[in-house]
Amino acid sequence: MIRSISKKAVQFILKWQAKAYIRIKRPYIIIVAGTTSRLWVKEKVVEALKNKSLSARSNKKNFNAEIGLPLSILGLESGEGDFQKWREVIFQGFKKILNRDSGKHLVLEAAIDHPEDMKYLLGIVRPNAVILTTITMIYQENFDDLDDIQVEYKTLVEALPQDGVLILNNDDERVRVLSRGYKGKVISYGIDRPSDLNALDIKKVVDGQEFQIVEKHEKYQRKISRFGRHHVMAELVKVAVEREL
Amino acid sequence: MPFQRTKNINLSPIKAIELKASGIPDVISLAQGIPSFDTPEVIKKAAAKALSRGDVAKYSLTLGLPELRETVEEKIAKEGMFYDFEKEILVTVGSIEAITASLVSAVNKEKDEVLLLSPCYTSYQEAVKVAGGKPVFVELDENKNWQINFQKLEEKINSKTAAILFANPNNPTGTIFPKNDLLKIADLALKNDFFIILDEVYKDFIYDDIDFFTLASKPELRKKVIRAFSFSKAYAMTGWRIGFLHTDEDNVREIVKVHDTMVTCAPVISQYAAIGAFDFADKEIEEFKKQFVVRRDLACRHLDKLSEFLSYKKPSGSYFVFPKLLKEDDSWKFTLDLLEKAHVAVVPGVAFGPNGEGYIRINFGRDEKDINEAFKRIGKYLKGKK
Repeated sequence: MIRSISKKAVQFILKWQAKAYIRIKRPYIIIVAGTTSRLWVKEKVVEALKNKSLSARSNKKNFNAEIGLPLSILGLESGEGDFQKWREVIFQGFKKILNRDSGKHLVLEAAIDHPEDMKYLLGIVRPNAVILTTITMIYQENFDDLDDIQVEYKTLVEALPQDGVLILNNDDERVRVLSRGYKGKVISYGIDRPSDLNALDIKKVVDGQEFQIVEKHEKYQRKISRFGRHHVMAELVKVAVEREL
Repeated sequence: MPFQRTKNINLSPIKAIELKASGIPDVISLAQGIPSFDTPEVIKKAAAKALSRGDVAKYSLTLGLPELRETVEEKIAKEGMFYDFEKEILVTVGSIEAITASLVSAVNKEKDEVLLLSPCYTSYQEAVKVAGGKPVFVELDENKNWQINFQKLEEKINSKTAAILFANPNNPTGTIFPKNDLLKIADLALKNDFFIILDEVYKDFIYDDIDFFTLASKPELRKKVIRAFSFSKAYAMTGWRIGFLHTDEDNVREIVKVHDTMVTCAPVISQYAAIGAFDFADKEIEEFKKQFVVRRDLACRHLDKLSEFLSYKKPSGSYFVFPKLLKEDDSWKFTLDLLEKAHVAVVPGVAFGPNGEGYIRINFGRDEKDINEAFKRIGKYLKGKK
């Protein structure tokens, strides 16, 4: 009982601190959403921003909307099950709000586990850019079907301002349709379907993967040291971020 | 005659000792490789959550939960090993299943010999036999702290060599094989076309700031190296039976056939626990390691006091020490007598291959009270034999 009340109190304070931080610092917020590959995409987004000499911050791994997201916004570690640690986290949260650092670019992972999680998340933070990876069932045991998951991401896209940017995986049918109705900038990426950014001729080599990136009328070769299709897709997101943000 | 295939396969002597010990009241076991710690709460919580959500009753995909495989990819990438979670990571029932499934895939009529660096973990030779292979022991050099003697190794390599299998850090000696030696093994594997099956279950317990290198971080060896890891030792999860292997997709495609046939998938509740382990339990591992250093030093101090009877090399990794019996030749006889008279269980060195005869393995992963009491009894027993 006491534990539950304490958890709710921490949740409430963190949510308030995260909102205050965003209001005061006004960071440019990029939300990486989707059921898979968020981590790799998030890494590439930060890499792209740093390549452009833009200051960027992201969280290690987002575990839930209630506690994980506010901690990510504030750039703080979890207090785990320790009351004293949580007291320190909250103290540090106030310091973060009041210090002189500007917010810069904040790359956040939207981990949704339950229906309505996105609504909760958007109650804390509104995105300037959204990157959508996939909608699959494999991670989402608390949803009845893929359409329910799609509804969550639709809510996220609807929260994007007109001057925002939507970067989405064109190979995923449920993701692709989410660009409909959005009036801002949309960049699609994919391997299987023609997109704004395409990866072609993917070859596995000894120390990674080689492929061509096709962008408008331009074609160029890229090599990455990671294996798997998800890393090729993440690389396309990197290019999209380098071009548009 | 039935059971022809299995008649030469033995039950692990470690389990035989444990079984015998279980019938003796007041026994202290420093035999089986079980740490004294319970599974960390954060891991149990992750499993409990999955259980209450109703996520654990069904099979997972044969390769394992995608969430876990993605977490594994992330974790091993931080250690410089790049593998595709969709095709190159297989979640297994501990590392022994990973090793056995790999051996079953790798051994064939033309190539049926598997090199084992002796002394080595007792179940390796049986796993090789289960796979239809022939264990070929290569003696490690005790005078060089149980390092590899390449002349002896090269003598045993031939066209029938299917693989080399070893643990790094080694069990039972706690030896860490240096980068140069591992690269020499890789050269031999490439030249002679055999697999390297790496068992790195103790890699989180390396002491004294010794560098650790894994061949699984070399991209050019992806098709030759199969790396097995278990959550059992690092996260005190021996009972959860959960581990994984990673290698090039061409190898996983074959190994998964054996895995699917034998177990369908690893226990799903344990897979959720493993996600909890990698996501939340780094601090606990650090704490375990600190404790093991204290316990290793304690065990070594006790051994120093018994230098008339036992000599040893201080282990650099794992939670085992492998002392030599200075006044005995038969390690089985010694172990059984020690168990009967002093009520202390250890493992006879001969269980770890022919090169282990004349030694015993002591697990210092038990708590300090047990270590102190066990050595008190061992001391009394040895001095009483004089």
